[in-house]
Amino acid sequence: MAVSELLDRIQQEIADHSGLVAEEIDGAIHITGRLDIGLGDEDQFDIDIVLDDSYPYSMPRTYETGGRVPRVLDRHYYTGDDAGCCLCMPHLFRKRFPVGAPISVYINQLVVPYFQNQVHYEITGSYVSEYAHGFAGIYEYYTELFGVSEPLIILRLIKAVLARDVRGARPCPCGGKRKQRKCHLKSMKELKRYMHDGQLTLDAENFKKIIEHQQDAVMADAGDKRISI
Amino acid sequence: MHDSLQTFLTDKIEPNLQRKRTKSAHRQVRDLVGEKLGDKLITDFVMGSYKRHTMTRRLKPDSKYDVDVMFVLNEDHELEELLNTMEEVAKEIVAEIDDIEEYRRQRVSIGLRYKDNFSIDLVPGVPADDGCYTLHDSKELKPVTTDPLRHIEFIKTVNIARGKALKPLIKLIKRWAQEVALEADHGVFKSFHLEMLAAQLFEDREFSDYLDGLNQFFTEAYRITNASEKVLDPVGGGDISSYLDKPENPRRQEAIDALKKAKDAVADAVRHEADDEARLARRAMGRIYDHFNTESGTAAAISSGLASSNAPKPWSE
Repeated sequence: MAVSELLDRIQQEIADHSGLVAEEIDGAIHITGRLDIGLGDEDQFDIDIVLDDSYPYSMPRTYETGGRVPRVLDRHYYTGDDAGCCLCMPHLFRKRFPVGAPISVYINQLVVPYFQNQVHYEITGSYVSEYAHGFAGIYEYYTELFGVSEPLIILRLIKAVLARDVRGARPCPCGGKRKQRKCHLKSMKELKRYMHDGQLTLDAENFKKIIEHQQDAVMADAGDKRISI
Repeated sequence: MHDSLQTFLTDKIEPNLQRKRTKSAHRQVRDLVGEKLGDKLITDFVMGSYKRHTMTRRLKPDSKYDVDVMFVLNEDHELEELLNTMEEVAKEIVAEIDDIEEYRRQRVSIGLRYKDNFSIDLVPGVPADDGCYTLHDSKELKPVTTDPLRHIEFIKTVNIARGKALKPLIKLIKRWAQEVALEADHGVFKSFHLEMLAAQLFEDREFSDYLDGLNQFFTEAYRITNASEKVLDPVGGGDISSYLDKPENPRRQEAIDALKKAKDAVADAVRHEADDEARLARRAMGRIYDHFNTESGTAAAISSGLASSNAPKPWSE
């Protein structure tokens, strides 16, 4: 799609956000201005949403330009080359903002809640909810998704998704005695639909490391027999 | 923010205690105790936050202000026996002074509870070397050798060096600790620990206003507490923060969390004030002082809105 055509579309899609304008700068589209997050005139944020030339296949990046959000990870703001708002973990991006959805979905589903959460932090010193930094947060996500916290079970479920072994009639890889359709099929399908293999492979590697670390720690008690992962 | 903190101090933190009335009361009690103990009493003096002028208003309206009076006894006894001696005296004093409702045997002192809003704590101690005294720690009940008079002098000296701004700053810090205790439903910090930490920190260091003082204090207190560094009694030399690691009731992590929250809130207030964002600076201070928190309704509405829409949680790599 030509940039001018995309720009026209974006301008229509942000029509409900009267404080925002879209313009093309050096081949990228910038949506800039003051974002109303529904908390009155005093709690609006100056933002810049950047859609690069791969959009809609690439994810937009959002920046808070007023300097109100401190540039620290504890406040969910990346610094350095990867600067910008940490809206949510990549695992949930596409579920919230599928390819082809209007940019207003991104703003309403991801950007507005992020800044509302920032206001909550400003008032109380804590977020309504947040994931832990780094892999600990990803671990939390999988625990919520699958309803289990055992790394070995999570790893088996991820590996089944990577192997495209997601079928209702097959035994569930969690190790329970039920078929997938009566066990983890729904959550595995969610992963299959919204996650790319690169991220799944990386997560599987990290779970494997946790399991190996646990095994090293209990080797003396467990004898030499290692669990096959 | 400095002016807002000054108003907060004047209106909400300064104790509503009549010093003249309190002074005549402790004078009367000290005279009576002196008569009854006779040669057993070496000396007596008023100590504690009342004497250091760092006392703060109580958050619970029915609680009384404690005025601590130390009685140095000519006896080499254990705490129990020292308390027995003071209790005998207290019984007689209650019978003689109508304004006293009752006496209470406490962990390391005997409290004389007045009908007014204060009580006088009779704290027994014995002489120690180097002009110090041995009294007992109220949390750990262990003997502590120190000199409360030199604490008073130390705080006074640093207060003068800091243009008489240290004592008000200490009161702001103690008010914060009271609110931490209220939220936790138990005491987390000992006031004496925080007072001495502030006095030691600002002994050789300036602060431009109360906000700057709070910012420096919380930053340094967080660092020291997180690193488990000792906070030495400037007189006796013992670690006055050791109660945080009491095995049966450790409080260090709770203290670290509270200090981090305070450090971040004050740092945000400093940043917003530099940007002329007075409203946001007050909002940040509202995270540690309920007095400034006028937006709990907004926070509750955000919380319920985000929960009901199952909004995504922020995450950072």
